[in-house]
Amino acid sequence: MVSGGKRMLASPLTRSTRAGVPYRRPPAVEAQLLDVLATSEAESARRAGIADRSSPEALRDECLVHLARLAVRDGDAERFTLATGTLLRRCVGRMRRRFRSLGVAPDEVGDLCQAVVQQLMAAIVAEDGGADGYEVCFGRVLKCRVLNVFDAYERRQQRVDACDRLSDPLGDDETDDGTTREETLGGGEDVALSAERRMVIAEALGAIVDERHREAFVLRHLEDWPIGPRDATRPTISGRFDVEPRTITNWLKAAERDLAEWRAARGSAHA
Amino acid sequence: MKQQLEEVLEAYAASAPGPSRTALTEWTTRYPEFARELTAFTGRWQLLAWTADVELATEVDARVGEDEQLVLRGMSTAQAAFYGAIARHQAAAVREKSASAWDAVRPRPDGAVPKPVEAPITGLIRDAQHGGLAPDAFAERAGLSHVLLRKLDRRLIAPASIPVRVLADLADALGRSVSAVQAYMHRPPTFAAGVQHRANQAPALPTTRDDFFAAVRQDLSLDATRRDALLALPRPEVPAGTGQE
Repeated sequence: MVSGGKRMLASPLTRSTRAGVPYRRPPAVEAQLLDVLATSEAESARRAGIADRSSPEALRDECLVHLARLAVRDGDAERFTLATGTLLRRCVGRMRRRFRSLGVAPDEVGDLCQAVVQQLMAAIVAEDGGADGYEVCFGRVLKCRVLNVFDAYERRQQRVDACDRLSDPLGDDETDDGTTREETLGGGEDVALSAERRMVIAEALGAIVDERHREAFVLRHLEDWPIGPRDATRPTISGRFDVEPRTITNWLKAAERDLAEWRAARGSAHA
Repeated sequence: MKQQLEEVLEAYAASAPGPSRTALTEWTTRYPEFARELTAFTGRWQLLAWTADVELATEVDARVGEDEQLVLRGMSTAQAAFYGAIARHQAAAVREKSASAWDAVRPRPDGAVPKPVEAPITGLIRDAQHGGLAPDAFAERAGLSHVLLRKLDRRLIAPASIPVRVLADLADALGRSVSAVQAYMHRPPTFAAGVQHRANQAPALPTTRDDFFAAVRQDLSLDATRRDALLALPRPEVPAGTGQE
């Protein structure tokens, strides 16, 4: 922004990674920041108000964080409200879906979203560089915050480990049941990762009632995690949930039953 | 420990190419004390990648109202954070000012003479000229027009209406503190230095001072860009009942 004839430059980031490597904004973020800071405040405000990311003039989330931090430094409530408002409009929907996907009850999603927003805003107004990560990769840091907030929520809820309900052996354990990703999801369809295909997969996964079953299904059939053993030096699904491999097998069977119902309902809906 | 875990998780999330089973093996080797948490984090991360990070067409319209409510709640939180930070900055500035003022005059244990407080500004334009800065250059550096600068120099602008940013830019151009500039602005209005008047009656200064923003709007010498920039500055808040103009 041109203020009194002086050009403003993007302030450098001050934090470093755990390995001691200083945080650096990606080149695309730096370039956009230099571009927007060279324009008038009116133009900067106009672009900061564009919530649709697909617009060619929309500012990246990382740039909006930087503009919000500048507004705090300048004591400018209007610019701060504009930048943070756009950020919120862009990310609340995704936060809500994430918490629902993790199994949070609908009437508790709002509070968890608020907790994430509080952390985001506290980082933006702080002077200790707490928001530097958001200027490097906003999406990933926000997703990390969502998972941290969910983790705290889950510990508060003191969920009862329901694996006891599914501990009866229903079949072979500790072995892959032989189904393939394609057979389980789409009846033999080729699982191409197009956006449309991902939407169908997401819809199907939403039909799996228990979120642990859903996660186990994703890890087994979409991310190729082995089921067991439980005590392993490499990641396994039974190690992830700290349950016996046969419990995971039962969960996967339950997920398959949910998917079968979904396919049947979908099939009759399209009939 | 909790903070360390959060730092590790954030670093893991930000690492290339992101959380995955392959990356998990590497990170649990590096941080075995957090193996359980890293594993749970990776499982959920991948779950979200296949579910919540995909926007279903059927959901978009249905959730608009719900999302709007979340945005409004979030904005309320954002405002609280902003004004909380501003209040902390102001409190810190007051403490620092008090501490430095006291530090300047308090008796020293060894009997040393306290360092003198900052000399008051005699005139904005005059002090700038003494420092080798011509009025036009001073106005340019401070982001003002010559007309506005002269009004500020004569203290014809209500000090309570002057944005903090303008005070800071003036202080920066003069090489003085913001508090010295503020103190200058609060003194009574004055005539321009060196001006002679010819009148049957003694010339009088205005009884009320201009509002800064009104002065900006009336200043025809300002170009549109600079005027917009000045008008967009936040108006300083004046505490109620202070009697400040």
